[in-house]
Amino acid sequence: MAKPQKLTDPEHSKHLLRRLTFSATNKLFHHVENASVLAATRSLIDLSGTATTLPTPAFAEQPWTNPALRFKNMSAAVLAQKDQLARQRYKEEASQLEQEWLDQLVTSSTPLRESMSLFFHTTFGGSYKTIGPGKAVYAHIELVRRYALSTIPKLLEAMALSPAMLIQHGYDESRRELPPYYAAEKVLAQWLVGPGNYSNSDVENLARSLTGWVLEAPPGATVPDNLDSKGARRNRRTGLMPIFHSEYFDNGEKTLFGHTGNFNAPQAIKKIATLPQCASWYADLLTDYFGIHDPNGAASQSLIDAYLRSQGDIPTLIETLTSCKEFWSESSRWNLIKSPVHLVVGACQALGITSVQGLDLESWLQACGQSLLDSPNRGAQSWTSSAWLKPSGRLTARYKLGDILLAQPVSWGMRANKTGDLGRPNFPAWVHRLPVGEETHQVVADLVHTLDPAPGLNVENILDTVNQRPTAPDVSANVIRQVLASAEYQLA
Amino acid sequence: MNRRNFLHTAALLPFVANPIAWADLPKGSTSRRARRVVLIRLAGGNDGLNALVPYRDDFYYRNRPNIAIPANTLLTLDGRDQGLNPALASFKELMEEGWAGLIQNVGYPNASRSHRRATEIWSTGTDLRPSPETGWLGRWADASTTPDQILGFTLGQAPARAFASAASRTELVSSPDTLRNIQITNPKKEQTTVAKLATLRQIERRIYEYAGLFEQARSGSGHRFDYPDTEFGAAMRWIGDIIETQANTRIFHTTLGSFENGFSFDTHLDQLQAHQSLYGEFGQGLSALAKHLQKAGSWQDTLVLTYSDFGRLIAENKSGGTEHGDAGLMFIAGGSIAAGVHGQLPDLAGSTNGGINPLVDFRQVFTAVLDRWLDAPAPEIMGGVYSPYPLLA
Repeated sequence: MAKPQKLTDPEHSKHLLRRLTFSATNKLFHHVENASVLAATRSLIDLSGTATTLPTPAFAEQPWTNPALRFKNMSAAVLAQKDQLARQRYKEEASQLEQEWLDQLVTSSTPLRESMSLFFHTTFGGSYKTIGPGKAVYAHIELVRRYALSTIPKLLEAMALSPAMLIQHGYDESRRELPPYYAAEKVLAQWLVGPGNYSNSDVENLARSLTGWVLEAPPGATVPDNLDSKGARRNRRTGLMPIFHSEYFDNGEKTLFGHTGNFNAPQAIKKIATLPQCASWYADLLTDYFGIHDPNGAASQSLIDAYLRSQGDIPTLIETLTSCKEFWSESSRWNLIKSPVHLVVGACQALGITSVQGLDLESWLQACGQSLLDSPNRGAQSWTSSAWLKPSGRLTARYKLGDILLAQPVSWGMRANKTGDLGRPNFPAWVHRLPVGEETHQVVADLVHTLDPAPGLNVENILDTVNQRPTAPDVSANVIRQVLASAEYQLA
Repeated sequence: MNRRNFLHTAALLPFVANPIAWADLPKGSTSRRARRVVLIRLAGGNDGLNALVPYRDDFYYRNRPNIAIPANTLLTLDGRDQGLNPALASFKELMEEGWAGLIQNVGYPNASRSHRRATEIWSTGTDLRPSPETGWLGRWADASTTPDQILGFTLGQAPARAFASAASRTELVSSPDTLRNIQITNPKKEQTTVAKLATLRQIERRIYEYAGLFEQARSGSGHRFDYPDTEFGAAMRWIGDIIETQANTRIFHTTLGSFENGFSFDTHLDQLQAHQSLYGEFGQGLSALAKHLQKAGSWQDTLVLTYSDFGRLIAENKSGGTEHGDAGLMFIAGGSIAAGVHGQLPDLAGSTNGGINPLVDFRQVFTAVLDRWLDAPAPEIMGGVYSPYPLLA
């Protein structure tokens, strides 16, 4: 497929939508058809300006009070119990947030913003198990969504003081006597230049820049005066607002990739984000995320040039990406293994499912290796597109998506399903709303077309199996199961 | 024991990530082909001191005023100054039958007390940095010349680093039910120009192959044995059923204890309660496997061993638990092991760092498994020469 001038061929429009969004829905298809590639890309970017925030959960509306504060003379047993309760509470908050976010991804009218948010979230990594308060996790997601179509330096600068990231990487309350080397290395490897593309001196100097910030209660807030100053940071944190403490900050000059200045955390990160090394890292990440086969590195080079020219402007990078001939090459088509989130969001959109509440997607995502709020420590390294089938047995979990969406029981774990014959399945309402045709063949063909798998799925084979259950919901459910459990559906 | 004391056991070789291939068919024996290893991770760092209790050692009781196991409740072991935790009753029965044993004071010099690093060291079989991507049994699988592609399964939620194989000769199975009804495309119809589709089809075929093995295992007799109705119990039953119903899978890994649900061996809090549950589950699962495989005629060819992140400190903490320590206890079982308690009583008063001093290098045990049990070239796989620990009868 050569790069088209205009999206007159439906396949061109679909290819663009499969990559920039989660699925080629009818609405989006009509939005971009017949437009030039640039105009279509811009229209998706423009659409993203209308994004709304995630619904604010109750726990994020109130000021956060640390449930695991350590007071003077508190016994270790009491503290351990408080820690345990806090962990449980944060787990429940994360679970609620994950559902809300998935609903947002499914129903959003600004899919490019959602896709880019997912890209950056994946790149930065982070786990609610480390971060803790759902309020911080929520604020982090919103921060990523807000900046997902701004510029990469601005986004990274904002990330530097995201409370969730300060906790995740451990530079909350870091002092000049002991700069957070580990955090600095993580930030360099995941956010800025990629693993190994920095010197020890860069790590040391960035670590010095990260000092001075403390998450605490906002000025004027009442803080208990009998707190124990010993112990883990999670038991001493009085709030989630980053406050700069000059007495903790290393106030000397730092040299980062040959550039010298008295950088603090946001300044240092923003500085590195303007350098060619960062441009190169994001060029690699974006070509991978969008599934571009780039054997000669031409697409990457175009992205690097665009990054440096536009100072990391994300819309410019997306426009550059879709204007590359590599984006449209035959070897890039159906070259992307969808992430589990991409799979489920695309399927929901295609099938008209408007909410995932009540579906066991948490277990499914975990089995597929993409718990949204528990991304691997190694961030982008582990969540590149090649990671989704390692170990290869993950494919078996992905193939259960149909059952999950159809609200059918799936037995996770080692214990075999002993329920035996489940009787007639009780399908959710959306299955009954699917169109019913006179001809089963047409129903099947229409559903396959709607789900949009890669070429090769044989409608006749599916018909052979559905003919044994000719009633409408059964036919639809059976087709959905089969398409979603096919190799073809794993690709975009 | 410090590093110098260890030197007589270990002559280091350059670490070989992909050791030379070895002939899997050992000298004139067919039975050895069927020998299997079941490796069980006790997740979190097991406190061996409350499993095998030195009840005549006052130092133990003085340091554990709240969590020591009272002497009068222990399961006694003939002729020893140590008794077993009462939750290990099933394990004790196995010991009495000559099918189980314990190796004391197992560790390595300058042990890490970090879960991540310690697990990395135990799993890869080396404390070198950077640590190899492959695990010690994964390297064994990589080096095997047998035609079977998949030689091992990890049964559980996450891949076991000990089984990480460069040549993909081990697999993770998290939910055997998801393997059912896997369809593979008829090879004659799979002409495709989409490269990724071809890759996916290959994966499908691989899964289809071992899905068949799990389906076959459903005909095993595991349901007749008293496996615990838990994730661990179910994994042990699958292992028993797979061994019973086919011959080619050689290594199995599963985990007992979870940081997410229920108890783990990371017993900073309420250790007695955690141990009662975990040791009971462990003993029952192991006992069921032993009976199952004895009935199936495979127990003689099965070696079970445990590993854990680390042992724990001798003194209790203020939360009814213990903190991360050093050397620990390995449980072993099987039809061909040297049963009983191995090694000497831990010298608690002589502890140099609050934990138990290591007297046996875990790599000696792994070397014995490779060299004496699997007939594999242990030095190449372990990246060093360690004297094999005499764990076999």
